Amino acid sequence: MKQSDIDELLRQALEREKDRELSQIPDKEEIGHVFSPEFDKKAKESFSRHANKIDRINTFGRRAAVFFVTIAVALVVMMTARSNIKQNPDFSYVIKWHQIDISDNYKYSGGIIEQVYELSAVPDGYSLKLCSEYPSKTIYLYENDGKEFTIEQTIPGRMTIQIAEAETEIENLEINGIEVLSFISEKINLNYYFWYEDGYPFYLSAPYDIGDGIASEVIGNMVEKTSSSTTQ
Amino acid sequence: MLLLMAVIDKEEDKQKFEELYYKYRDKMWYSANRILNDSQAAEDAVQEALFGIARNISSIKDVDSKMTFAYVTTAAKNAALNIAEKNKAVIIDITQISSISHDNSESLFNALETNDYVDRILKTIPEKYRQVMYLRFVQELKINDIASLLGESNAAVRQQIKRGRNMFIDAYRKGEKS
Repeated sequence: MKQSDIDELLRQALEREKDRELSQIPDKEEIGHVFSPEFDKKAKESFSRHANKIDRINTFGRRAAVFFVTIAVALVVMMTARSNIKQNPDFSYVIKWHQIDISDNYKYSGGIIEQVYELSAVPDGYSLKLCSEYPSKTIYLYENDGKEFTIEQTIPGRMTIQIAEAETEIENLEINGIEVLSFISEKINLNYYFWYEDGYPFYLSAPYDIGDGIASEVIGNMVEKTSSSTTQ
Repeated sequence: MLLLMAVIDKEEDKQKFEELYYKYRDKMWYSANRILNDSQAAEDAVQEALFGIARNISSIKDVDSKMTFAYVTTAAKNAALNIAEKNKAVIIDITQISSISHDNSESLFNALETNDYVDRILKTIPEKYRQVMYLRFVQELKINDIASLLGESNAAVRQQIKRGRNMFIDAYRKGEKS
């Protein structure tokens, strides 16, 4: 018998063996295996995060992609009285939906940051690449193997978020007990998170695939920067 | 599991993976547990196999097809075999034991050229080689796709296929001569 014929016999035998094997695997119900809580929990977390992202992308991502500017974010802080510093403004009252030009980004109505905040602990593997302190904002840029995320603190007060997409849906999240607004820019592959700590508005931008993980390590973990603080 | 999603780029592939996960995870566990006879270790094997599948999810065309069913269970079995090897566990495959117990040389050679004979020869080849050969010769996957699925090097996969095939050919030729 030629070798090619033997090869064909082998192929057929392998196929028959697999068919037998598959036919002997019972239905899911008959198997009746209950995956360990840890296994199940991780899967559910992963898929629910994924589902949220898909929902968000489906609702605005495709539409956003057709915009020339795509999604531009402006963080406009409306200066309010100093007495508001320790208040946590309710996001639901300050969201405005606008289609804006990218040149409208980062308008501030004035004011200064009296207390600069910094991360209490840097996420594993990341290091501080840049720290820029301005009167009205402080920007931290962290990097790990080409992946970067940015934290920005702005002057205290009400936060108005403007997004270059009409009818965009922003997701309300609770991360580490703090109310957070979040949305994704599919076009530029970034997640954005907005929140308040000690009355100061912060926002985080991070690549889409690590956004939620980074957010859970950053949000609620901003502490007052002292003169003895290092830049981490 | 979070990492699983991280290795998939396209949204449609992520949805496909999720569908596949819920459809086959129990069957994957069942396949792994038949080898390991240890529920927790079988879950580890499923997790390991899922990584390989996630890396290659774009090559899966139809989640519901028999080919996909075979593909995922093969990945799970292979992962289980690797765990068993690491743990020096005794590999138990009930189907293999029952078929070997009926084996004897006389019946083998009388059955030359029948499917039964060929199938018995196949059973003499290590399970690991059979799984890899199935992916190569039946599913017609490329060497690097098999290596990526199973988390092995191209050289190792190539070697397993070569050895398995040679063992089969040698056994068959011996039967012809007898």
